[in-house]
Amino acid sequence: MTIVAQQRQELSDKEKKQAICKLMLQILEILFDQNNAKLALHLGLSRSVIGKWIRAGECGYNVSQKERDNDYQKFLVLASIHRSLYSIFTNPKDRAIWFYASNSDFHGASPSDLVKSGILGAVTVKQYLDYQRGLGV
Amino acid sequence: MSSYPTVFRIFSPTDMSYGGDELSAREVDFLEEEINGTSDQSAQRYPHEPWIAAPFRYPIPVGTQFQSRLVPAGSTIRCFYAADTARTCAYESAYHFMRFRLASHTSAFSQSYSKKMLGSVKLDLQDCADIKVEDPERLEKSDYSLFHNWSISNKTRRTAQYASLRDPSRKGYCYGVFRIERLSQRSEGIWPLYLTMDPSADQAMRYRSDFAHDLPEQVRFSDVR
Repeated sequence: MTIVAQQRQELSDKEKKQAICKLMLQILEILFDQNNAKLALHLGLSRSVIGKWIRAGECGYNVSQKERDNDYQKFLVLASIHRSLYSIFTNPKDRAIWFYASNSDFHGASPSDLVKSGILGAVTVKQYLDYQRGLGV
Repeated sequence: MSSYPTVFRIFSPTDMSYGGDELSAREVDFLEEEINGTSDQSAQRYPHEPWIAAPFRYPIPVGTQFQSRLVPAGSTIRCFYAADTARTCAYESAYHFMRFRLASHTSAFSQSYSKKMLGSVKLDLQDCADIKVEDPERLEKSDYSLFHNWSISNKTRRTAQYASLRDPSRKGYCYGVFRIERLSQRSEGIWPLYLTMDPSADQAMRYRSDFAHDLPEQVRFSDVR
């Protein structure tokens, strides 16, 4: 008997944009209390852009572009933070509590403050969570 | 001659399955790839179960401010940490769990459990280096410089063992595995366990598991830091 490994069919660009939008909605619910303005502030986008994407059911990022724009890169960093928190905290409320609490590992700033400060701050939080998940035996 | 002991590691159950009910498996695959920058090629390179492959498969581009026992800050060395018993593994993980929770200045966290998994896997100890600490009582537990010097000077490193500094019994051993080939591809066993900060003590946590035995019930931060 020959076993042929089946590869999952790749998503179309439209499906990719829809998947990103679904993820954005999850992040909006867990970290931003359904508040488009708060999410927009953390991504450095206007509130109307977020609202427009959600109404359309797909994001406006160019997902097939190799050189991704900064906005999309920052969204991916925020998505990675959300993913790590999903992995670390069983209770969804704890993910938001951690995100907004002052943290001694960030010299008293909150992870939210760092993400709002720009891409470098967001990457610092992402790396910190990657590090936390990789530590320990 | 090699020996193949079973070693233990605690990991998060959702590490490799991001998403939720709203996302299909294909969508999760796509998002994982986007977020982690990994691909199917990477999955084929590591045929091990995901929790075993994770430290090798997922590049952790830690900044210069982060380090681990055998990996200096800013290094690209990949290392799978494990312990010789579930109990030693629990003491080591307790430190990192509490350190992370206590860095957040809030008392608002719920008392709900953080679900983790205790996994066991066979380890090939051929050419395993033994990192000796002359006087463990005098070594600061968070001083990793001795271990980093070893990692940097041993370019052909495969596996290292060292006495656990966080297990109060001083009988436990930890392992750092630098080559995934040293680990079996399948788990010996995986058991769910639950961690939570202890509501009755300021800086302590509790383990609970219906399946994994020999875990410390309560661990104080002062015992492991």
